[in-house]
Amino acid sequence: MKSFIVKLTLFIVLTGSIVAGLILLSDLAIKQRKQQLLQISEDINMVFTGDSKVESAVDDNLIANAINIAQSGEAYLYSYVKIRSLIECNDQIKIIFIGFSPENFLMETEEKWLFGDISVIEKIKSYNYLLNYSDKSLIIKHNSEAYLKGLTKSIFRNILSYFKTFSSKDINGRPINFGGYSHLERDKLQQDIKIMNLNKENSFEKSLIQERYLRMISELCRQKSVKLILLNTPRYKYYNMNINEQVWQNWLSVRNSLAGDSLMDFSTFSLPDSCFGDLSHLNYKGAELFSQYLNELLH
Amino acid sequence: MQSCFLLLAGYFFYGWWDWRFLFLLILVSIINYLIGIRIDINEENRKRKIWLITGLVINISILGVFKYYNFFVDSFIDLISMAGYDLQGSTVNIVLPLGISFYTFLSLSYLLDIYKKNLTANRNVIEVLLSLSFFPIILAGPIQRPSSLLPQIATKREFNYPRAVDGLRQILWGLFVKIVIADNLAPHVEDIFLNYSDYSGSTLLSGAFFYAIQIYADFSGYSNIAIGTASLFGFSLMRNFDYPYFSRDITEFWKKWHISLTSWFRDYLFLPISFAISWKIKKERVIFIRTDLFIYIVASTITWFLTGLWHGANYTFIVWGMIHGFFLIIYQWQRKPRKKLFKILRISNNNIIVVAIETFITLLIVILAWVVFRSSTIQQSAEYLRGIFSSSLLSFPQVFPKTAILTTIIFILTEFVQRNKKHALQIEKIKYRLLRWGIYFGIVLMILLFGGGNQKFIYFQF
Repeated sequence: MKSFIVKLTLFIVLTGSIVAGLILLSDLAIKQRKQQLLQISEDINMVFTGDSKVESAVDDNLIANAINIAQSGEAYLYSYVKIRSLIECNDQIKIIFIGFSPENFLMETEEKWLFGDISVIEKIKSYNYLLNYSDKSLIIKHNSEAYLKGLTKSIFRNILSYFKTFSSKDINGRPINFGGYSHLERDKLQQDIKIMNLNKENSFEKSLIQERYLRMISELCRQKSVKLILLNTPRYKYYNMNINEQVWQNWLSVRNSLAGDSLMDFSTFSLPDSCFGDLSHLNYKGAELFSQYLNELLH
Repeated sequence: MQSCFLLLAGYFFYGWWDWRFLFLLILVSIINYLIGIRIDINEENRKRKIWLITGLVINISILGVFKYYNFFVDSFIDLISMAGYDLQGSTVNIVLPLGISFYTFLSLSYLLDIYKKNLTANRNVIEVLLSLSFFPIILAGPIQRPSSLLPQIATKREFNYPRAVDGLRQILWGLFVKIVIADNLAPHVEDIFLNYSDYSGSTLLSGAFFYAIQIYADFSGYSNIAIGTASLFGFSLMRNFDYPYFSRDITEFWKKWHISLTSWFRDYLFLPISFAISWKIKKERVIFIRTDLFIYIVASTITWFLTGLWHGANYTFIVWGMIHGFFLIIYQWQRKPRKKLFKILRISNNNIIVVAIETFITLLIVILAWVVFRSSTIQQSAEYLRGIFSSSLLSFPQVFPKTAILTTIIFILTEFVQRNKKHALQIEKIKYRLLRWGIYFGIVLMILLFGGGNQKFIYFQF
């Protein structure tokens, strides 16, 4: 029995030490190649970021001098660390567009996108090396188990990204593992319309941390002389009927508190039904029309 | 003392999941303990039978109320509606106690074994309670019958180094297949089955294949963890899986899949029904069918109907059970003609091409049957199957998770190479300790790096 326990303990300690060593090494390695990893083309000075709505609405191939780094289910904390690192490595960035929709400020969204298991694991896997101490401790405080899982999974991701930075094929003016335009073929608009009233939420609980990180993004942009534009992407005409009044009021109050930043509200942008994947997301047809319009508007 | 500790550990473990149903588990165990003694002490056959029936009725009623009440009420209302009557009825929200199907079957076999005099009712209440709620097996089996568990409980257990090490290896392999294989496939299976109308035939077929691997990895993973844990405590549990997807025919598959449940149904249902019918039929043929085949058809139909129903209160499970029953009957029917045909054609039964073709056909039947099992409704399963056999069957699948596929290939190859072992990580014959430890470490690393999300064990719902 004694020999069994000794060997088992030895194995656990050895395994733990090797895993911890690999985490540290891979983190160190990726930080060394951060500049190469996050380098974007010299001519790109506009960055679109946010959640799935921006991810599916902005086709950066159709907008000159722009890059889309939005990712579905992205909380403002992760957008903040991405923007911070990107600005650090790329002086040419002049404008940041950030997704700004009423659902971003709901507690439900915050719990799922910021501290939910799947979110934390996925984001830590990709962005742990970009987080500073306070960002990490906030996540650890709320979901330490998922953080640890994400951390172990970051080993492989970091090593892979590290080697990719040496290949000119993989470094093509886009940051690695940073999100991007998603070609959405979804066709669930009619289905959403049918269940629209059934899904209408009457309760409202305001998020606590989302707004704080949006303010931090605003502050960061001000410090770095980068223009921040809050972007509300096109919605289907019935979408507003599905949102309760308190959610709208809260969104407006957040917007008013960021008076120094511009708002581009395209929620009533007119598009045919065939351009919507569902009530709040554009599909690839919608993305094409909207992106072409944005391109004309911005140039 | 050992048994007392294990019993308390079992109750703590069960109560950790849901403490409300711990009382139900204790109540059911005590009732069975008392009824077991009543059956045992009565010499008169009639009284023994009455106590047995009382026990069976109590156990099955509890299972029926918690697991099947809503299903039966809904089905009854539907039946009456079909006859043109409008019956007002309502279902109630009943939470399914974890592992109820498993501990009910343990209880049933305890009473049946005492009745058949295969087992003497144990007077030690701790030992009986432990045999009905032994913590590694309480949630999802293996359904280790008290007749084989009680003697082990009654014996003082000593620490056994090779057994404990083997137990740990089995746990490690169980964790690997559950976390790396099953949990990585789960989101893709969920997506494909939820949005089946959006996907091509090839994607639907790969979804069915992924589910076949997922459910096997999930359940065999759990069984390996349970058996390995029991080994650490000095218990030897029966195997629950014996590399079933390498089976050549459907009968072999069912000898290797969920062995503890299949053998339970065989011993307590299929064989008693077969014997009961064979005593009554003296003719050589019944309705132009050979008597032995007729008996097999009747016994199989009942057994597979109930096997399906055991898995859950849904028609999909019943149809899934009946599909397997149907193919088992077909297999039984073609055995003799097949033998004759092979003799005429001078084909050896062990011809590698024949073996490969038969294995492939068996696998295909099993995979397609899983579609029915996984679907929410019969209609959905029919649409899914129709979707598979569409013109897009030969296109490249739209869902192609590289990491999950790569780890699945590693898993299948390892299981194939180790198919003659009790579990795939029986590597004690590797002489070099460094190599063995390297393998363990590699598996731990794969679990940490490639482990999927937190997915519940599929069989916990049964």
